[in-house]
Amino acid sequence: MIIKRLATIIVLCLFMPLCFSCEKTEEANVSLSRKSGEIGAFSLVSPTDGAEFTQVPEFVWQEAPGADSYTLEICSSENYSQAEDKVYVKKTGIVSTAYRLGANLKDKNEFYYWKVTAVNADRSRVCENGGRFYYKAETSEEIEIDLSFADEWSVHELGSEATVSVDNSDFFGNGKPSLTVSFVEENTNKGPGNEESDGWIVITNPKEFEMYGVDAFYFNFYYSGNDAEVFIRVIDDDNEYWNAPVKLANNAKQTVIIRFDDFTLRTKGGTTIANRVFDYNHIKGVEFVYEKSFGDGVTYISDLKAVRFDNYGHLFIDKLDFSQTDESSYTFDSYRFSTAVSEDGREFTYSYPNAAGDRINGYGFVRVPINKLLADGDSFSFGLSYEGSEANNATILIRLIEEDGDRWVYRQKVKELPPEGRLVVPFAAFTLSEYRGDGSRQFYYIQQFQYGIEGVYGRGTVKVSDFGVCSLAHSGIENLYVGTLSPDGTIDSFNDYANSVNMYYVWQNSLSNKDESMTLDSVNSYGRNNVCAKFTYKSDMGPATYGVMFEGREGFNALKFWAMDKSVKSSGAAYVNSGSANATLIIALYLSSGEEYRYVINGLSSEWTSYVVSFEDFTYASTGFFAESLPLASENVAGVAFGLQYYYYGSYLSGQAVPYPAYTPSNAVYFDNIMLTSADESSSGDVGEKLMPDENDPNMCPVDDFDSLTAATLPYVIAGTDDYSSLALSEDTASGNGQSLKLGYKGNSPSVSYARELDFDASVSAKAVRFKLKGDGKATVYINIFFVHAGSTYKYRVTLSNVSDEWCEYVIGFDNFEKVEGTGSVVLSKTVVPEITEMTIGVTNGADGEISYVYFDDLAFDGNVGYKTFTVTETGGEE
Amino acid sequence: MKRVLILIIMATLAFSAAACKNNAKGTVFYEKNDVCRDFNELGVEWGVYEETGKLSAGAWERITAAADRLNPRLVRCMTNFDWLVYDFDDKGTADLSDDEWKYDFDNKYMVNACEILDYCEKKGISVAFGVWNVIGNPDPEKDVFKMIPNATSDIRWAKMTADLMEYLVRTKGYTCIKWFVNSNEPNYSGAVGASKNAYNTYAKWEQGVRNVRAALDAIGLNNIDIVGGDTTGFIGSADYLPKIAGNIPDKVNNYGVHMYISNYDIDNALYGQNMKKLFDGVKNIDPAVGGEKPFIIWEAGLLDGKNVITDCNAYIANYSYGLRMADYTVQSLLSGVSGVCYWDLDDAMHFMYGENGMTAKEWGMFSTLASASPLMQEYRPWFHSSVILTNLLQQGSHIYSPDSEKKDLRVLASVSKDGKNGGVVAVNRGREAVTETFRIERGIESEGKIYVYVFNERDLKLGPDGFVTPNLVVEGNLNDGLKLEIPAGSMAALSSRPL
Repeated sequence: MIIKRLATIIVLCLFMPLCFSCEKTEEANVSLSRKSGEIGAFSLVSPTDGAEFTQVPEFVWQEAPGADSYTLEICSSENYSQAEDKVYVKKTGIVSTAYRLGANLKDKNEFYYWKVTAVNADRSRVCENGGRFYYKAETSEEIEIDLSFADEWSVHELGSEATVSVDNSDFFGNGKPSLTVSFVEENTNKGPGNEESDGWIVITNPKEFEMYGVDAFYFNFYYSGNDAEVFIRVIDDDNEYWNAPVKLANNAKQTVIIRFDDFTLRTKGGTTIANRVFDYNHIKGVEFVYEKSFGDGVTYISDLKAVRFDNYGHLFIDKLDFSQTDESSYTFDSYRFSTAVSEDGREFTYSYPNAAGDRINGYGFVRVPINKLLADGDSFSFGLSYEGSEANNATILIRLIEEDGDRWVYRQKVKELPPEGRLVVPFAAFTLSEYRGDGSRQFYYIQQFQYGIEGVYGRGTVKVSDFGVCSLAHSGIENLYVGTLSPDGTIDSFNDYANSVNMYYVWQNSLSNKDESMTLDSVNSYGRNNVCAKFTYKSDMGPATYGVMFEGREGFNALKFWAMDKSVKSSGAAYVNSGSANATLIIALYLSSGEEYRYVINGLSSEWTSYVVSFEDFTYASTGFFAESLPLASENVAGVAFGLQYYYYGSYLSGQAVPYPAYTPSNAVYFDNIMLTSADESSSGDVGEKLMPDENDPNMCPVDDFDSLTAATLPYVIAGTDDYSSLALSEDTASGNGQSLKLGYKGNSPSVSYARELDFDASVSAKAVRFKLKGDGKATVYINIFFVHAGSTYKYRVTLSNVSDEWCEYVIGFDNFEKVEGTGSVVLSKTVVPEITEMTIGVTNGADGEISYVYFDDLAFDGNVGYKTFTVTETGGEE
Repeated sequence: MKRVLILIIMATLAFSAAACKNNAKGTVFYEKNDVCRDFNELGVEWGVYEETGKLSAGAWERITAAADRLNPRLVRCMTNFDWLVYDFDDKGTADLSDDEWKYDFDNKYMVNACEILDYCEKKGISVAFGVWNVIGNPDPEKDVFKMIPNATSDIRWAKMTADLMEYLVRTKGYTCIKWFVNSNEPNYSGAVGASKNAYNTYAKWEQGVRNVRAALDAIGLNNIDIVGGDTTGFIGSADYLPKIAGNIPDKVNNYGVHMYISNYDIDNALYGQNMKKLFDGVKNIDPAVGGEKPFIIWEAGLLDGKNVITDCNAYIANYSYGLRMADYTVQSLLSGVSGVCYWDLDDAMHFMYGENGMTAKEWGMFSTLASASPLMQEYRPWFHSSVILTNLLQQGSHIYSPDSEKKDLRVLASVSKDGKNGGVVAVNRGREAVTETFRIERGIESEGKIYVYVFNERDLKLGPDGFVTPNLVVEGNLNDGLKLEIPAGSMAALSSRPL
């Protein structure tokens, strides 16, 4: 028994270790050997050829006899090339006959190709049929970009600092939060050592979006701060930066819509340049970029979304349908016009019937509310006609109130209306008439149109028709921005425009300065019956340029022009700029081959000055269009442009002036008599003589005693358009010697107007105007004094009723003059005497309708009396 | 009689042993070669997404589907105080203790962190939650917090940490958070003005750990342990970890390192040798290392192919990356490491920020970036190799080294704690196929099947869902052994259950 147990134990002991440590027959022996040999034919099952999907489909194919596994390839072309194709995906080792990609295909509305290769140990076989499917985008009407989280936005580290936060106060009244971006002056004005951050702020939301179906960005925007430029910028699919300017209306709650088509590629700063196509179907981030944001500022952005532009067409003015505005919403300024709208809404008429008790007293307006965005364009196109008794005197005015409250006006003299009555008026032809916002021309959102008329006292009807927005370039104007170089070299004397708006068809202005405007001006021009051009610019911005193209002529070697700078220096005390703030003028001559030559004048004269710039003094500025360049010769000159700019500086850092922008608007520079001439050297000089103080009495400046004048040298002109004005020298004088001025007028009729240009030397100091006057016992005489200050024209008037039929000497202190024109608060005083440009004399009476005369003599500006002086002294005389 | 019996038994055993020695074929994993008795498992860095707005449609579904398949047991999730803290007020005094600030725990960063933590909580994943760096701007002129000079020793760091952990653990109830990471790679100083670590020292870091420990204890979060080190590279880790083990072993529960290894060191198995030296060095000071105190590589990756400008790895989509990471894993575990956390899950998590915008750090197992090419979005080979490894090498398993080493063949075996599952990982780094028999000594209660997975460009098999599927399923038991030809440049995984 013991032996038996022992044997059992021994046997167990012998076998027990073998149970684990020795090779056993149960060991699995496997091989990875694959199938080999021929692979049977197989075909793709789905997606079927050309099928359309909005999600990546499951790929299904037949089983291939003899296959171990399958390789699936999907590609954006039939090349199946990872190197060359935009999209290429390859999955190997698939053991099933169906496969679903984990990846998204971000490029949509495209065909994709797919194929399957069956594989075994030594063979492979491609499917019998090639597959192709259309991957269609699911389009959206609107794609919201949530602005609820400030932390989704970052501020670019290299730019100026800014604070991003979220405002939930329903600032825009749209029920949505606003993203706020605020910055302060000490961070935006870091100086030249940190140029990139000089007012440059970028906030970025790197969120990615598919943009299929939409074609514009929509958002509410509010900006309060200095005159920054703001862009919305997008990083597109291939990492290019595309931006579009936000047309700012300072301190205004704006609604902004920017079409994708309006975005341009950012090429500076080393940003990615790839295919130069705005691949907006997939964007990788949205940014708001601020440039030149010197100073404190805050922005609110709300309801940012990508939209279909057409869905927002109702927010835009394209063509006015006057019937859309309820006539009860009209309001009136100074006169209650009778109004009517045609049935089709295309025509709007306003009349002043001259009915008893309903007479218009010079001017009035109908205010028509609009409250819409302005469609793309740079001009208004409309028909304009007048019927009435005052075609020679009447001026039709069209005013608009823009988003920030600034009011702008276009003046159309009735007598200059083109025969067909159709006008295309560039936005630039509108001038600021009331400053309620920032004074910048921002015709993006129109609160109100105001249709009016001035210079009328009788009856008439104005008809406005087919009022719409257009692009000047596509308005059918022939030879747009092309002038004529006359044989004598004249490029433009500004005297020959049949209608003042025509200047805008000849001269083209830039937009980047944001304060460009052109107007014809007869008040500040030099010389009788002369008209000059007034070009404006804003300081601390890029140059405001005004240019015209023409066909060159032989025989000239210099450019000549008159210019007078009336820029206004900012009153800020922090500036280091010394002297006046007169503009820097950059003159560019363009050759027909494309080369550009430049000449710079730093600090234009404040007085009318004739500048001559020899071609030799121009410097080569840029290359031309063609391989062969042309010399700077008058026959090759194809255009000229004048650029105006001025910069303010606040301090010096390492020897460099640090910008300290003032953004002074409406700086005016007057140009006249632009021509090519012959001169070997550049030069400049006064245009004409100035009125000087009397040699014996420095406080007295005699102007006219008429004694030595003839009709040919008489510096007075008839400024009115009536047919009863008359102007002549007379021997009727207070002293009985010499000559006086005889001025005709008609009673119970619009006043006559006689103009005398004035150009006082800076040494003239006057507080009153002194003259002798003889009336007819019934005349009312208006003495108007014009001066231009800070780019604005002021008109002050004194009214003399029942002027005696005896010669009297009038001494009228400036305080007796009332301001009748001018948007500022500058008063007529001795400090503005050098800025006086003109005096006009008006005469009328309400006694009868007879032709009559007044006599005028011995005009002087007097500094020996006080501002409040008002004396009338009979001086006697004889006829 | 008794003596006879003993002699017979001894003789029999001697015979058996001799017989086995002479007849043994292949690789045997004996229980005595248990290199890790409480393996922490493998995992992945799954950090808070810096820009969730850049994700593609359906990204979260893809991420969680990938996570489901990867089945990590460890996740390292990092956030940033800069994202969470606002309205800082220093009260105008130099006294840091009276400084005040607020937290935004509702923003996109915390929302995303909670999404990740929700997932981990649901799946029972152990999370090391940490904060990348101290708050503030490296540019001293722009830095209002002034924490950078004192790094994590700044008392406000501990306060913020306690507040953050209280919110996550107490308010949100995340029991999955096991550790706090006391800043990322504290030994990597970087340049003054550019790096938040520029002024850090070990002493400051240690003080930071002491402060954090005290702050967590003070609010009763004693169960939240601290990762010791989280240092990068051998040099920095060899500096920090011994000091940690010597100075504050009671403050640190987890020795953590980041290892980005060159292909050369992986290919020649030098990495495993160096790691073992590091591991042993720390263990000599703190014997608990590798046992109750895990030693975890919290960031694991390969150095070759790294673009220092973009922080992308050019080789990330290659099969070779997956093969080397499998080799990396085997070498790590055989050196005693308790766990490996791969860098990283998804390209879409982290970005480099430059003058011209941001670029994704392409170092993930796939990409959910909306703008990524489809090829970049697809699961990369190393995702599949990682799926095999994370599912095979289970938490709590025993890791066994082989009884013998064979040139170019890196192998290990694992058996689950309950003995119900087991498997073998074999990485053939040679240029020739290797036929080898693998056998595990410890009993495995399997269902009699062995699932064979082979990872190389030719043999990896994918199912219709795009996930790895076994090449073979054979009858057998790894206790009995399995003889397999492993192709050159391949990883083979044998498992008693489908992975």
